[in-house]
Amino acid sequence: MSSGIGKNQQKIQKDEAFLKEFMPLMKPLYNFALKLTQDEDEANDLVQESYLKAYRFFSSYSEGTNAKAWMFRIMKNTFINDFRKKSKEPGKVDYNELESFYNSEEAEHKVNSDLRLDLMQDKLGDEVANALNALPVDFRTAIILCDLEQFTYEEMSKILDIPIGTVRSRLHRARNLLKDMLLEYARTQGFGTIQIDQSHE
Amino acid sequence: MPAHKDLELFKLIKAMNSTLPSKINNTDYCERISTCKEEHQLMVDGTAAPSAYEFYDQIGQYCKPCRQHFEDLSALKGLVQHNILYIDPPESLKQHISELIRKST
Repeated sequence: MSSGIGKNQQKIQKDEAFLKEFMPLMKPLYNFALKLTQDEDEANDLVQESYLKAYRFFSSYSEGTNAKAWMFRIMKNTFINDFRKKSKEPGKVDYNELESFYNSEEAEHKVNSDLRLDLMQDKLGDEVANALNALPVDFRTAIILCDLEQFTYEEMSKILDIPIGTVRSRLHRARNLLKDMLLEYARTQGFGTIQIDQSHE
Repeated sequence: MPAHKDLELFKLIKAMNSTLPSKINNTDYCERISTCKEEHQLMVDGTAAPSAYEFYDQIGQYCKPCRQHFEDLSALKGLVQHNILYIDPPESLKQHISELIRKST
């Protein structure tokens, strides 16, 4: 009986420690998920899956170390292992699930969710977001981790599981692609002052 | 170790030849554009060695293609950082995950 209470207490402590350490990271993780999946529902699933995996492996995490990099690594691996595979499969529809969904209260909530997605797509419908979304996912990830999340090359190397040299070259190639799409726009927005000269490319 | 291994040599040449800055100001004098590009990327991302910034301040910025490349990279980075929206996750997602964790065994 007392060992049961002890276990329960341990579980509560573990949960609190986990939530305290990782819940503040949900915003950057959610935005990373949105940019990886480019779909709000899939992003929700990816965030959820990543958190549950992190919880499962919480014992292997050393408290006070780089929690953000650890979670981003989990999310990146989850995306590659689960979500990319799923997205390559032809679309499957479970009609029983569909029917029960439309008969449930969730359907109403779903309408709100779609409105939110529309809003997001409107806001993201600018040149920069479109250019970023048009990049292949590996390049997009490199730009997000470096420019938006401001991870160091070393942290990116660990998150992406690639050598630092590959991080550099991936960023270089990603920026070259972005440059093709965005440089003129950047100048109109007041970034950069020098004329384009492609002779050294 | 900076990519510009001959930084010291360049400094020496610059010191010896006072006409060099005015020459390079208007010409594409840099013949090592690929190594410069690597340095520019590291500089923009804040991971270059201090000597790289020093080199750029003293010499690189007077080389037209180097300066152009560095400013282009800075422009792109600035554009991404200022224009990509950061969206709040839905409250329901936060609550759902917290509940799942508390319910898990």
